[in-house]
Amino acid sequence: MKSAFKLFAKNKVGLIGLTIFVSFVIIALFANSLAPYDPMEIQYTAEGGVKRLMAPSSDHLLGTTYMGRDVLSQMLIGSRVAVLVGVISAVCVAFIGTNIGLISGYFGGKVDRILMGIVDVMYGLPFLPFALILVSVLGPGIQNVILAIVLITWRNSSRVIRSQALTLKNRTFIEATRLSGASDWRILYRHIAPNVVPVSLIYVSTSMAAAIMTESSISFLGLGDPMQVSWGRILFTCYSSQAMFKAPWWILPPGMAITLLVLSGYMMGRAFEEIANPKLRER
Amino acid sequence: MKLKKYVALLLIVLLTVGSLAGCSGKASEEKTAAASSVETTEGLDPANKVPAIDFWIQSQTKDPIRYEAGLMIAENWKKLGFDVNVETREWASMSAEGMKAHEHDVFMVKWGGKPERVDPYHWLYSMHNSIEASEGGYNVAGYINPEYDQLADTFATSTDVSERQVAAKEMQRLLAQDVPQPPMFKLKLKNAYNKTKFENLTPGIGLGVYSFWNFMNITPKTDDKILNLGQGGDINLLNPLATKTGQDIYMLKNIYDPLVRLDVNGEVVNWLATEVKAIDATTVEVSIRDDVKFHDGESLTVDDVKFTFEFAKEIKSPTYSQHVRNIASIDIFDEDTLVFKLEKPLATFMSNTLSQCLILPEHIWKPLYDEKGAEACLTYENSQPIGSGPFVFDYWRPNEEFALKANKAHFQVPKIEGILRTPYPQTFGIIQGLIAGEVDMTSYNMTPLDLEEVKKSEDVGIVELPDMGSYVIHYNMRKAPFADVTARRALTMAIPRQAILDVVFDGGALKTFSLVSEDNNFWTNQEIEMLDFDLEKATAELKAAGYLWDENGKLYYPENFEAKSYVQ
Amino acid sequence: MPLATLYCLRAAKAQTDIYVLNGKVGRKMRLGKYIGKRVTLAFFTLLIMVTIVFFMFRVIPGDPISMYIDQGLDQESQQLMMEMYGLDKSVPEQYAIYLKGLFVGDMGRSFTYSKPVAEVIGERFLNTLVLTTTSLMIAFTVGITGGSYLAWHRGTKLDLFGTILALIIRCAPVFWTGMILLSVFAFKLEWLPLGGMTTVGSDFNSFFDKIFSFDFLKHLILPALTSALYSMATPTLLMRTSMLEVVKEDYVELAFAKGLTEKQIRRRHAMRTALLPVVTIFAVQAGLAIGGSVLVETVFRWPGMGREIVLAVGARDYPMAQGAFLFIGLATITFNLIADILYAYLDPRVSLD
Repeated sequence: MKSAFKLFAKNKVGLIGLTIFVSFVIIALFANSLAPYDPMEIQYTAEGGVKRLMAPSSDHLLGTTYMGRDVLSQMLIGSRVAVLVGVISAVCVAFIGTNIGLISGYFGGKVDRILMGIVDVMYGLPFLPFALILVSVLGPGIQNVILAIVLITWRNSSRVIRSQALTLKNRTFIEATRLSGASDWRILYRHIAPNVVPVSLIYVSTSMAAAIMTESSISFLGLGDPMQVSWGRILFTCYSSQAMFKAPWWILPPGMAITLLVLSGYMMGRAFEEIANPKLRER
Repeated sequence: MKLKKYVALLLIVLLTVGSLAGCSGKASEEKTAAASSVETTEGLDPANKVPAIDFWIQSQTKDPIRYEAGLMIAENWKKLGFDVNVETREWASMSAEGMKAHEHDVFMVKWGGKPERVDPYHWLYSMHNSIEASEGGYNVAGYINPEYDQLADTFATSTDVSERQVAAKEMQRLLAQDVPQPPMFKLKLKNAYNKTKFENLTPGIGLGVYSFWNFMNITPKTDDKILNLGQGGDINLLNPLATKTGQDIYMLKNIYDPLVRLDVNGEVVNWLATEVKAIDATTVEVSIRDDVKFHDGESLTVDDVKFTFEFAKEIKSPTYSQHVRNIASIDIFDEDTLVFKLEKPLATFMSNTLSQCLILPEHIWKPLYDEKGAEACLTYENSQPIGSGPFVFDYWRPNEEFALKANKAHFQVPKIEGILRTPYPQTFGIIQGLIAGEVDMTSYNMTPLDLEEVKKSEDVGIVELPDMGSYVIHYNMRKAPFADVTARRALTMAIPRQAILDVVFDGGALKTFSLVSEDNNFWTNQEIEMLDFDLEKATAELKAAGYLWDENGKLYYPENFEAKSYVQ
Repeated sequence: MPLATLYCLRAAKAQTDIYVLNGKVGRKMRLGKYIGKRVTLAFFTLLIMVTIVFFMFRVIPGDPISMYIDQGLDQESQQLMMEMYGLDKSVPEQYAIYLKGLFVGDMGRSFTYSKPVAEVIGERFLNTLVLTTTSLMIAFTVGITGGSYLAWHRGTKLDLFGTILALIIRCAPVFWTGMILLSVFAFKLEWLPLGGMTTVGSDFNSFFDKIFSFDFLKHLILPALTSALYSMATPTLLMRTSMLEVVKEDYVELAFAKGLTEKQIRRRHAMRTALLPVVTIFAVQAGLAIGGSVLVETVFRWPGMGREIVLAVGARDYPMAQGAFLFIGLATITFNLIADILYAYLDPRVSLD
């Protein structure tokens, strides 16, 4: 594992990704103090008029929306939702996927068939339409968005983890451990699982990227949590107001932020990939 | 080593989650009572705390106006000392749980001001009498006031119009002081049209340029005599017995004829009928024209009229049901006259029932019914509708075009040669269409942004007219704190009307205090109590009724509080 | 999705399934059995999916009738309307009726349009198909040529630039890209229309006349381009990786020794083999593209299946939403199936023994 850390540190792509990610986390943690205004507050001029669609100025570094809200504050507060959804989804997905993969691969037989059968069914579900319906059923809270994302994304990692477990299962050192009388669960979690972790980590990063993308997509369709400011929601409001053509300061920042954060996820994922699969390192 | 790795990861995750979840945003600061004149009381019993309000507002998708207005209203309610939880609901859930099941606390609706609502039967009777307070009924607030019910009965059944007017005015006075579901705003509708190509616009009450009379009277100035209408969304269904959308119904009213119609002011004018006589409270005699033919050449006779009403009742048409259920029987008196016998007296029989029921050709629908039954008739697509109206159906290419031709054989011929209705997926497209001259008219209400755009074209004219409908806030009197009239009055007085008009409507609306619009000259009562924005008065009334505030500025009931549902 | 791991995934999946099969018969027979098994599984998946969606809808708060109360539907009319739509029956009963209908190809009647769902969906599906096909064609053509080009020029600044660009586009939300393209090309420059599929009020004799008309193509460009940009990255990067691997093979060295030009080698030998994984990815991407069409269709108001499902869910038009979901799911499953079979068949590394 120590060597894994070393490898990561040496990996330029991974480091850049990590830096971007950590910057967003810091912004998210301090968003409340950083944001100059309340993101949902309508801003008025001195004469009492609403500050609609104002271009960036010293008062409002990223301008204002159609309803007179400060874009910069919305961007900063929106990072909280992005990071929260990303991290929680990623951890849940990786956790569920890894465990199912391990159990399925190691125990085989009926358990394996049932679990993989479920995975097969999940593969058939079209991603976004299903999330759409799920959020409609459960309501637009942020926890439901996370639930929808997790339910659909865990299928990816389970297969790969499973095949890893399969390969490892037949290694001699496992045989030896078994002969020495260790229980199945012990073998699984003490010996096999740790070797699967690098691959798991790939999925942590990529699931995070996918989760953020999905959350912003759901919000863009108008189904996100309406009481939370999120980047997807900003784009949704921008699109529905029909003013998107007139306000580049409103339309560009959220998309760029989403792109960067998603990028960081994929970059870290790539780094983990290279660690897990030495063949790739030569690229 | 792997342990360290796990711990590190876990720590990061926990830290992130913890701080994000734990941090309360700037937006959720506790806003205590802003009214400085409030004296607080200590040691109040928590059991007496005024329950929190679950305020359902529309999502931005459905209506950004109601969304923003809702947020502003909630802010001010909190200033009074109420606890408010704002929740957005999709229209589908809000209508099912609020409009139908009456399980809401409070939500907002935008009621349409259709011509059949000029006679305020709907606003005053349907929405507020106690019978309609059950599930699915229009009395969403659950207002039950015996004095009001009495007035309502007179209003609904009397055949003397001045007696009804007196009752209507008194009912409005009561509603204005009891505020079960008060109106807040009415739009200043702005419809656009091509003034170079058309003149003599006759917008009708409640429908604007989409009014039947406008289609009849609008006159082409150039050789292009087809009126090109641009609307958002397409026609759905051309079956008068089963349709439920306004857009369909308005087009069907061009293709089919009713016995009477409501003119631009909402007054009844004879149409297929030459005379409508009330013999007594439950008997109405109707004589019809003898020169009307359906578009396929067959004559329209009293048989068709009798058939229409009886058929709709027989197959249980949802669209006709509220009109035909009160008809006990129809008898043919002679070849031009029928006699309707009603179950119960209904003051709006002529203005609503006879004006809304479109007459169907018996020779087309009866064979369909005999062959395939009631269900088939209700699901019948009626893709080639045959009516008797001043417009004949030409063709319909779904999502592309819907075309009607003028019926030259009608007893009143339109000035235009035809109507071409084009559905636009984006409202912005309608605006562009107007500017480019592709579209001649639209009933879509222009927003300030749109008005700026259309200024680019000299051909586009705007016609402004008041909306007969309004944005209404529906309290649920079946639940606290709305069961008490003082609370409702205070909440109503905390609605920042002017601010909302400035910020949200951007000048495109007006305040309104009665469901019967002030432009409805005959029926409106403007000498009513108008509870405009006044936080101090609201606080004073709450105080006078015995309400108390704690150290945080939250409202409490006094000991042994008895809610009064209306002002006595 | 990380690319090398994509390999692992496909290999893992194929191994999974083959592993489960009995080990004694020959490859062709195994393949046949494999296909049969996959098809049966696909059928059951579809059935389960339809059931889940059906019951989920009956659980969403709200119904298609109460939405019209404010337009003037009183209590009795509401009841009549429920009866008309068959919503007054018990849920299991409705389910039974629905399933029975499905087996004869009857997907019910849309509440909004009152037309048979099959009719409406058929139309919408064709629209989505045209859009998706066009965008995938563009994506894969550019992707394959771009990817192989980058691989050949590996290590240069061009390679770095190209790879990063591909990655960034992949990470940009597709609806955002769409909004930007719309603002620039349709609004600012006014070169292309604002959305929709055809100019309002236009008339065509047949579906085929329509889709080959200039007007239609004008409307198709932006949405197809947006979608293509998003789908482009994966084939580009995959092709590049794949090529790099192939280039190291001995037979390429041999070709060099023989004296063939770079271009010839690249085209004739390297590309063909490198294409293998890309071909299988095509099926997967197609499946994903159909599911993800919702976003592009919403931005450009393209009357396709994705957009229809959003509208139907909002209007609680159950038959319509169920039907749309069924279709999209069917497409996704079919493409996954094709991908699985292709992979098992084509990749010599996957042993069926």
